[in-house]
Amino acid sequence: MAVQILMPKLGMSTAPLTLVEWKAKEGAPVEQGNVLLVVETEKIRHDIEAEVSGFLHILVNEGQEVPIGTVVGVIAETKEELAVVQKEKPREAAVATVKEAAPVEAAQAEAPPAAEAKAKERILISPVARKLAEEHMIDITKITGTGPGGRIVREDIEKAIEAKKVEVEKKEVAPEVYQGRRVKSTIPLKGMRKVIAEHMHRSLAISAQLTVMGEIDMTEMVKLRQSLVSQEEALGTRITYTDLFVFVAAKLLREYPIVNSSLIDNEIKIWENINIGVATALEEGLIVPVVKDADKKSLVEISKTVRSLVQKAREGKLTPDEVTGGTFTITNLGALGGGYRFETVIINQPEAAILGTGGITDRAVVRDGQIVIRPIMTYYFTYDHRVFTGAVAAQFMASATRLMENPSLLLS
Amino acid sequence: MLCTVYHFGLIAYSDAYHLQRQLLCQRVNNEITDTLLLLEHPPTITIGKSGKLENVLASQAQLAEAGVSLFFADRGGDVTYHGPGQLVAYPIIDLRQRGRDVHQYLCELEEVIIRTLSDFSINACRDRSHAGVWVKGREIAAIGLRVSKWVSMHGFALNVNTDLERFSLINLCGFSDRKATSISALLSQEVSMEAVTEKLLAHFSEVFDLQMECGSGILMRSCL
Repeated sequence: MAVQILMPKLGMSTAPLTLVEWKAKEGAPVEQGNVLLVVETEKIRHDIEAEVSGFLHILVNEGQEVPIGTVVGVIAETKEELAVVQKEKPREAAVATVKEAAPVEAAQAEAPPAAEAKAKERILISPVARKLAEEHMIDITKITGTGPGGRIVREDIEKAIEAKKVEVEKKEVAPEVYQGRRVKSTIPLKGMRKVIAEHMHRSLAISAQLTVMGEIDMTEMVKLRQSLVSQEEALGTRITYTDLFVFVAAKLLREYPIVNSSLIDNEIKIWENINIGVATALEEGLIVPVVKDADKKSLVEISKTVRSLVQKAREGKLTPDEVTGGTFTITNLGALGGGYRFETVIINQPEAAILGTGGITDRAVVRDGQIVIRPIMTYYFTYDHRVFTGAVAAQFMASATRLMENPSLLLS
Repeated sequence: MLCTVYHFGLIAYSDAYHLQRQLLCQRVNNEITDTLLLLEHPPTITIGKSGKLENVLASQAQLAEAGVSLFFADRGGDVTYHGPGQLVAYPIIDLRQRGRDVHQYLCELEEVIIRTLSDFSINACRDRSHAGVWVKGREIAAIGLRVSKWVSMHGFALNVNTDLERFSLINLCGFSDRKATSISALLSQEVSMEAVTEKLLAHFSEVFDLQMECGSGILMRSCL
């Protein structure tokens, strides 16, 4: 059965709407859920979707102002039905019932005399070219019209779309000499690369960052982790050092609320939520998915969440919600190899601190007056001195060291 | 309910447009919270779907020389000008949860702007026949919206320190007799973008009953 398309009510107002554009042609097949027509009221454009699939019969033309509830078209179920509907309700008849309103097209065609005088200077564009320019967001000032009187026509826009593509490719291949040096290749600073560049630079520019570094004896943590790994099947997940660090950090942040804060607009907001970002290296760069409410999660829950987030990050499937709202970040560089080293990690704004952890390496250390070999991990804790002082940072890391060197305290 | 705010600074019209399209899709599928993009555009003229090209008064060569881009936009409304010093807000808001009333939404956006201006002792009002916010007959904020699957995109542009000379390139909103104004012009002193943004966010939060959360922008920009 044919389904009528009504001019919808877009809220409480009953003002008539302008039918701006049909997204399908007369008789064309339409699909349920696809945008079928565009209407406008005040300064709001509203897309209307097809309620059913079928064949479109248009009753009201574009540019008409139509009262709410008017039947503007019909969707026929079959081609046969379409033929019947087209015969029964021709397009003109319906137009006649509509309140008279000057069609936009007509108004455009009859340009006022004043405009005519300057017509040579004004920009002219065909309706098809205009539609195409809108869809592809083409900057009209960069187009030379080749139609009559310099009018911009469809081909001009198509050329611009093509040129845009070529320009991108060219930039990536062209060999060049830059100030006496031959360029091997040029990597455009865009996409994730650009984001990281801007984000890192901005972080250093707007805050007072410094880094406290040290070593942690990981003897007990290594044992703990080995024991957890051996129970992988029972736990349903393979616990990583990163998972353990998130778990430990969540506990510590509860003790040191000031570390779990952000300086925003001259105020330090101490966050109730403990949302820990886990910096994840990607081929393209880096992304920081967030473990929400880490302090309310068990180690197993943390492990499963981290695994799923990292997986999504690598597949490029993270949603904005999963990479925002962090209150603290951990970047475990140990997994990247390179052994014993220190570095200064950069705060993920607007957080107040970030903890970097290095690889676990056997080192000679002194215990009870004896030189012994112990698995040692380096750490680098960068904090924003605008938010808290070095004393807090030192205490925080002393607590972190105590917890990791005596993991049984995690039970306390 | 939460609303994630992203501060972008200066961003090309076309880039911001593509970003909005992506966010709108994600909002429709409930993959993200309501979102507010705050930004400025480089000098750009945009014409809405029903806008007439005659309302661009400058020739193509003049625009190119002045470094002004020209785009056709898929929002409602006629011609408008964007440029540095103008605070542009693009809310991606789910109207399914707000009674599916686009008129009320428009009204609430105007309310946010009017309250913000009142913090700067500027008495602004609506014009029933023309969406936007006006001060003594001059337009201080332009509004143009698009609603798709009951999620909004595009939004409003509030003149803070905008170079008002540039508005002579167009017939504002399609009227040859309408003029634009800005907060700085009305107060005869420079007002900072930050000061206006801060007030605007507070009123946005209040009018729409949303808790504003600052997004890092890292993923956002990576979409570009």
